Amino acid sequence: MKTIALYSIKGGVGKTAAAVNLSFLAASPTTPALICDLDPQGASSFYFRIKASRKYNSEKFLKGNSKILKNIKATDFENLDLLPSDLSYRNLDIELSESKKPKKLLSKNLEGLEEEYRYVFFDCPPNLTLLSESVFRASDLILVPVIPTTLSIRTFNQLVEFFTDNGLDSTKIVGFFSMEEKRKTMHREIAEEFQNHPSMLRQTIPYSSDVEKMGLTRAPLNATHPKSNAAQAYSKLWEEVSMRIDS
Amino acid sequence: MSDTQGSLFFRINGEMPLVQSVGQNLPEGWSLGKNSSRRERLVFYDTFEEEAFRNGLAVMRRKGTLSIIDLESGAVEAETPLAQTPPNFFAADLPEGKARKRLLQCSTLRAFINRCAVDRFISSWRILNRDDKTVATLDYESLHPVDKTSETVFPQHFSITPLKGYHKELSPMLMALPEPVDAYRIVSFKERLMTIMETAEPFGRGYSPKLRLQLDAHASIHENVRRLLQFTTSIMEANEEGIRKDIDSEFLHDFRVAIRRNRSILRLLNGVFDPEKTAWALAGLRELGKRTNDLRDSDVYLLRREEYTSLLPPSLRPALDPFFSDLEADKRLHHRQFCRYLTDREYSGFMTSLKEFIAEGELPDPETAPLAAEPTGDVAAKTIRKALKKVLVHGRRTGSETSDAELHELRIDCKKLRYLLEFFASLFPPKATAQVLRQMKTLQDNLGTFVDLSVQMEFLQSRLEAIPADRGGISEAAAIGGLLTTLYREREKVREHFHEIFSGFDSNETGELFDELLTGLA
Repeated sequence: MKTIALYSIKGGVGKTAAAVNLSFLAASPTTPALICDLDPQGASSFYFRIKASRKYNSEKFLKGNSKILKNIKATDFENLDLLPSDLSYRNLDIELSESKKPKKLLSKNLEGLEEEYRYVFFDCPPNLTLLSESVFRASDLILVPVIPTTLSIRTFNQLVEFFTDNGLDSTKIVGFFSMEEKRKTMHREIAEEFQNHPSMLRQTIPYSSDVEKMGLTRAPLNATHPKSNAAQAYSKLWEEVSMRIDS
Repeated sequence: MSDTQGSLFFRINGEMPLVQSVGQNLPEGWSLGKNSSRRERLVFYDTFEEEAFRNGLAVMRRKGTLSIIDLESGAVEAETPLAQTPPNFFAADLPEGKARKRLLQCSTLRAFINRCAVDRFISSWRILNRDDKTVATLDYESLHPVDKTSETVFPQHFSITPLKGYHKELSPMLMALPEPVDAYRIVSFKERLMTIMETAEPFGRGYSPKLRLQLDAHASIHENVRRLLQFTTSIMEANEEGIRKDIDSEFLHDFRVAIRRNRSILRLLNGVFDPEKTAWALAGLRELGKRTNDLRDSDVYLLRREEYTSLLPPSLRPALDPFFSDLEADKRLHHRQFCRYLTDREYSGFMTSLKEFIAEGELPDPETAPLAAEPTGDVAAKTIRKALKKVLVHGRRTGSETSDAELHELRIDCKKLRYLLEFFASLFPPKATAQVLRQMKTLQDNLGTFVDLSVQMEFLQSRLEAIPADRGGISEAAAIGGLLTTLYREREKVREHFHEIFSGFDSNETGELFDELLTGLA
């Protein structure tokens, strides 16, 4: 099992869109995939039209294993399941801080998934908290969408520093340019400058209204419009990600 | 069939409801998604004696995969690729793995036969909840015989398969079923499979060579022996096709056991029929049995291939190849010969006359057949006592040297006693019969192994004498010599145990068991 976190301190950078489309691309009969919606806003759950059971909450999530397995739901797409988020997830941090080993809790709680899934994606909330740290430890790859602007690059670097300062493996961090607008000079220049950066993937995701429309179609773009530019960019991005993670 | 675990099946009673009525009763806001349809061929395999089924399994080929399915849960236990649809295969022919292992546990000797093939048509809908999220699939399944000329009509089903995480929302999903479907009665996988088999009636369905006659102790023995002969003769006929197609060696084996049983009962119960007629039937059966001997021999030794090979040191193993390839050639020849005989008028004539003889319900003349009218219970008690006495007398007479001939004869005596016990089993309390048979088993096993080893040694000896000098004859002779030595040692061990085992059988306990069995009969 390989775990991939879609993470950014900033909101609105295309995390959920990437999590939804990449998990859809990753899922196949030989590589079943799971997407864990960790954001209390529940955007990826919304995209897949899935609501958590009434009895499900952050407490169950923290209990792990069997409680998690019971609450996983199938999406409308073969071999792709989702662990929905619940509004109670907003308290996850407080609850985590009360547990014994908060930073290792997530890895431990996901042990039962090993048999069922080849890929697990975490759609993370935009902040840097105990939960984020737990995710960092549990993930094989931390995939960070970066809008090609100086501020975003700065945030990205801050994350790398945070890893180094806290004894985390910063080589797990991999960025990719998201919502890139070719007509903007700054976007173009920054994307070019970082093209060969070892922590950045080559493939960029263009800014696209098709991606925004996922809120209406409530399905992965790669399922509804596989030929669109953005969908094709996600396909290529997945090729790159899967090569990194499986090598 | 039960490819998806967690599917709930509902039978359609009568006509298929109109497509428009599907999903009509769904709760407000729920709907049915796009319909798709697919077709697949299902082939069900089992042995002639339905050993997979009796072990709680179904064996099904679908889309190039052979699945072993648990009958109770409908879950796939193991899978293995099976590119073609063979008419039959042995478990040992499958690639190493769980599927092979599971089927070997069902039967090592019997072939798995294509019992029934159906084309399955499925129309699928998605059941969507208020959020337009698929929560289950709804399938309409109809099965059709592969053979287009067949008029077999299989029952049709609807099935609902909730998606993962949606099993608790079943009640609105059930509303998707059209009205004439009984949503309260879920049909299990086992039930569906059984209906398919009942409808398809594959060859030899429900076959069992085990004797299970319910006899009436007060009815005439003539009547009951005729019923036994009817049963055994039907077993002979049931196995003809399997022998002709050379599906596995058990068809011939059961055929031969049926002949032996017929002969044994006719001889042991002489006086039930006119001796002239019995003599004719006995001669015919003996001749028929003889014609199967060579083919059975080839079968038996070919089945021993692995065992023989493993008895030898690796350096001598390849030397057995010519032995087995000759056996294979012999088998082909003997099979051809016997099949020719099975289609010959002589055979069909004999079987017709035999069945006429058995069907003759009128009691024969008491002068020529004094036992015929006797109550079955009386005759049972008398003949069993007589047969038991014979076993005991012969056993006690067996000297300290325990010669081959003595053991051989005693084995036949035991077999006769056993055939009688099996024939009359329904007259006795079941527990007592089981106990007596258990008491006999150790003795029969000892004698059986002894004779079996002797016969093998004789066969190998004759091969040894006929080994051609060329073609690596020396190493083959060495290999056969090696086998003979091992078998000889094993046989002598069995011989040594005979007296101990016999005195265990020749005890007060056995006497009491038989008394318990036979009291009340006569």
